[in-house]
Amino acid sequence: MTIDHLTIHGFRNLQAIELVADPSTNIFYGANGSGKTNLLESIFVLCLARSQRGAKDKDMVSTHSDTYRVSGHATVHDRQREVAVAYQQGGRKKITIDGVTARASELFANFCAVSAGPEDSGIVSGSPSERRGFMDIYLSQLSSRHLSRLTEYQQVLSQKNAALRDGLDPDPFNELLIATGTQIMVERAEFVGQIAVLAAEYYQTVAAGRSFTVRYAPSVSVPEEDYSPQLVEDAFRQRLASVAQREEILQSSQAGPHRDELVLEIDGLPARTCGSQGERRSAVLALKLAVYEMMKHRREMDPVLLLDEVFAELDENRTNGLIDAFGSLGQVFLTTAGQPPARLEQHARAFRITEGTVLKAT
Amino acid sequence: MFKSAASVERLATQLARLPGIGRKSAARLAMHILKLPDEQAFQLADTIREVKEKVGFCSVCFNISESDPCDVCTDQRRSPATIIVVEEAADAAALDKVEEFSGRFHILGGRLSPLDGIGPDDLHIKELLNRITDEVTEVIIATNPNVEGEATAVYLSKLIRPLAIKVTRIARGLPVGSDLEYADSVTLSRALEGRQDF
Ligand SMILES: [Zn+2]
Repeated sequence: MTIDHLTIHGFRNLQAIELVADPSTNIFYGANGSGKTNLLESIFVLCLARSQRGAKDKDMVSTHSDTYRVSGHATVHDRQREVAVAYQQGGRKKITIDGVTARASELFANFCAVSAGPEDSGIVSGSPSERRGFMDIYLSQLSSRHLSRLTEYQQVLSQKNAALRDGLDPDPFNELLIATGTQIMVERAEFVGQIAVLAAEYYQTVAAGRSFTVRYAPSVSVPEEDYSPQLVEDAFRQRLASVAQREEILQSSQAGPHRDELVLEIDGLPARTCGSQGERRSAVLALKLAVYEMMKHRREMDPVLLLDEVFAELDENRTNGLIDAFGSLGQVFLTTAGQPPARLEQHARAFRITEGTVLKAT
Repeated sequence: MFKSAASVERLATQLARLPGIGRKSAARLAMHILKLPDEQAFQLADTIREVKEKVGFCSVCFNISESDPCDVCTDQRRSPATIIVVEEAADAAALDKVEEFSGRFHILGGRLSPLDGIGPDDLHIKELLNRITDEVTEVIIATNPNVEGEATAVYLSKLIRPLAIKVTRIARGLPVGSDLEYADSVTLSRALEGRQDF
């Protein structure tokens, strides 16, 4: 898909903006605080009705306004679509597709965007829960059932923990934990299986030389890493039986997808502790580009790719490697603080951003 | 500072113990009752007393009833072979509107929810097991299709299965997360038809 035309009102520090985007690469460049990341955020909001930085709607409304509105023309599967996302302080978010009010889930079903930026550093450097969140957020975008399973799993888990704390029999909740937990594990395993190879390849592009490994490490180990539902279920049931006594003593659940980990290694060593900052950044970027490829495959469309300050940590070779990769990607919007790399400027439309407005489009 | 009469405060405290009533609304209700005409206020008190004196729980199925055993338990047209297990009396009332069902009920009086401090001993589970005699051939578990209802169903089926009785679970024809009480009879009858062996 591509965003062809974009109109922004009342969004963060941005002035009223109207711009015509290039179907391939678009560069927003300007000083820090000029508003280029906000511009990227507004495009993400247009595609998915939420911020890639996890910001709340009320915080995305300009201080000079009580409403933000982002609208645009998009081309999806060769069809022209009109989409708008608006939010009024204290009210509800309003989404329209082709002039008709729509739910966020319809937006997910019709449009697709993947972002990478400084806000993603936690995927490599943060706690395991951030890596579980990384898996789950994209799985939820692919299927709304995943999200409802996560919610149900969380409810079952709270009840089981309460039973353990109060010395009640946790067993009735184990059956439900196995049912929903198995599905979550099967989906995560499939997701990681799909992005692992792609991430390794992209890492070579942006950080040539060393190898990057991505591996799913569920808290319930499954023999031969064969994640077919029946095997996962059996393994989960066995594991719960074997930790039952420990759970009773510790009064908390010891096994299940809430304790899963996504192992990220550079040359066989944990990226979190052994990678340099540049390597960790490259690892995040490789993961996001892999997600992009996977989404493209599963959704049968090119997602809009939003890259915030990804050149900052890359040397010239790696920057060029990444730019060469753009040729095979769909529409890209990226920001950079300095003058855009020369090699990129030739093939891209550049927008200079100053004090929340677009000064020049080349 | 103004201090209200002790008896008004006592009334407010008691009202605040009712579900869904906070301390502020309890104080408002107490003031409202104070302002009511005598007749109306006494009527309220009398009705509460009457309900408590006349209406009780059936000692067999724990449905609310003015007689013990209740009308359902003594109705000879209803087969004693099938017992349908529900969480609350309101669920039994909803299922009773479904013509396909002519068995008897058992009301658990809640569902397993450790978060609310409710375990098996807080439900009428022992009484259910005592009811399972030779004339019973099937127990249908119709707890709500949410986490707590499902857990209760799992718990019951594990208890009942060793008794060599058919245990079925009402089918998932109900919208997920819904309460039986609010499901319409078409949905309920479809759910009953499609019940599955545990
Ligand atoms: Zn009765």
